[in-house]
Amino acid sequence: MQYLINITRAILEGSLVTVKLFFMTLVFSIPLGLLVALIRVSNQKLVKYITDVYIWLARGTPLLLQIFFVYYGLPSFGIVLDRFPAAIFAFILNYTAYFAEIFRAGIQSIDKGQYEGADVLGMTYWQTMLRIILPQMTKRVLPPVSNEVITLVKDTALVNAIGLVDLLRAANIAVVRDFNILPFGIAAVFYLLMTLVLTRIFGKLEQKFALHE
Amino acid sequence: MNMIRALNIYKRFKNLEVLKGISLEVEKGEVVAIIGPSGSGKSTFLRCIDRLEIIDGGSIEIEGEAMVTMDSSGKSRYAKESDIRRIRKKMGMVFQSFNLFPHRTVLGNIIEAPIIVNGEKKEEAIRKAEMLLRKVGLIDKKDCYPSQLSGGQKQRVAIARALAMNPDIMLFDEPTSALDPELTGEVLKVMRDLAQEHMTMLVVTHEMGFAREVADRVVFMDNGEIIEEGKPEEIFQNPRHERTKAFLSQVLQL
Repeated sequence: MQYLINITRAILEGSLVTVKLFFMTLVFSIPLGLLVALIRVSNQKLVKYITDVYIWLARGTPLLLQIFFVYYGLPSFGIVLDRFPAAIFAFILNYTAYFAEIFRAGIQSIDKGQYEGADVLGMTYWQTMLRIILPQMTKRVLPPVSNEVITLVKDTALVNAIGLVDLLRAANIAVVRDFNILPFGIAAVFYLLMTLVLTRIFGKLEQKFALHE
Repeated sequence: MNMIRALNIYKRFKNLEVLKGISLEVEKGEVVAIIGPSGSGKSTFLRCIDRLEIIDGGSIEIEGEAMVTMDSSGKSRYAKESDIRRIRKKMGMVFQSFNLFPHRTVLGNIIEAPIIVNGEKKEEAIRKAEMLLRKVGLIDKKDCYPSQLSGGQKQRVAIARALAMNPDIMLFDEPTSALDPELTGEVLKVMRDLAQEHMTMLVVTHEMGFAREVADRVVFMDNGEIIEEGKPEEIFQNPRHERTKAFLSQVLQL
């Protein structure tokens, strides 16, 4: 029993890293993703091209490789980051690209008539975006965003690779030390609990937004 | 003074010439119905007047103010964006597909633009919206979402929404074409009431009954041109042109 409490505590400590990484990634990559999406639906040719390249790179290479690049590669360009900031930076870079594409698709799925309806009432482009298009987009993108957020919970385990002690790493340490796979089971329960909570939250959000349809 | 003065409007989509030199003037309080077969360019013409489409040639004046002028080479030049914005505010537009905002209630749809575009106080906007909803007979639906309404109710909300901006001119783009036949009456009644209050109206429609009874003038368009126009009784009883006759005999037979 004491053993169970001890390893649970160790895993709990590791999960602090996981949770911190998770929230910081979301807090930055959702607004940034929205910004990139708005740029991509605008008619600015040059910035649009730049975001094209960025999204291609961010989605076209493994997240693990991006973490390695930020942690081991950037120092050769004079940018040295600690493990945790390096991990967060890589995650934000990667997730922003996915959110941007989800939001872009969401914005473009809104009927042209909504823009015209706002236009003939004298609303400006930004008024239309903020008050008419984005609220409707939010409802439509909830399912893919929820997918992405749940994937993020599990992707955090990748930071193992640069030596950060996250939830999974803490469990792994205990497994190797004690020749007992119970810690893996506990880790699984932790992940499942987190994704369960998130699934519930998104379910509630979808219900709330479903009211008007 | 002419409320709408459109001269020699040309509009092309890629290689297809949709409007081939259309001219139309609408006076204050006049109700003008534009009829004609599908693809005749009548909706495009209406959309050009509210700058939902950019014209290639011609000029448009609204209440004496130039939205587009024509230079000596025949090219159209639009006024400054701020001027266009002011001029467009004089017009309200009603679409075939309603284009209500699905995430806003009926009341929310109506007060949105008065508040954020005109800077009206919320209480004032609500008071006016409720008055308009009474006028179109939908005050009991004010807290509903558009998805909970029938097509005819949606279109009446769309009319109220346009009226909330206090336009001098109302443009209707086939307002009953997306409705079940039994629902067209309630929308046409609202439009008829508006006409009786001497609202200036330009209506693209397939409702021959409405054109005949409510319009002061009927314009028949075909193939990007105005073929003939006149008082409803002239157009419906004594059409002069073959194409008008052919069109009318087709639609009135149905």
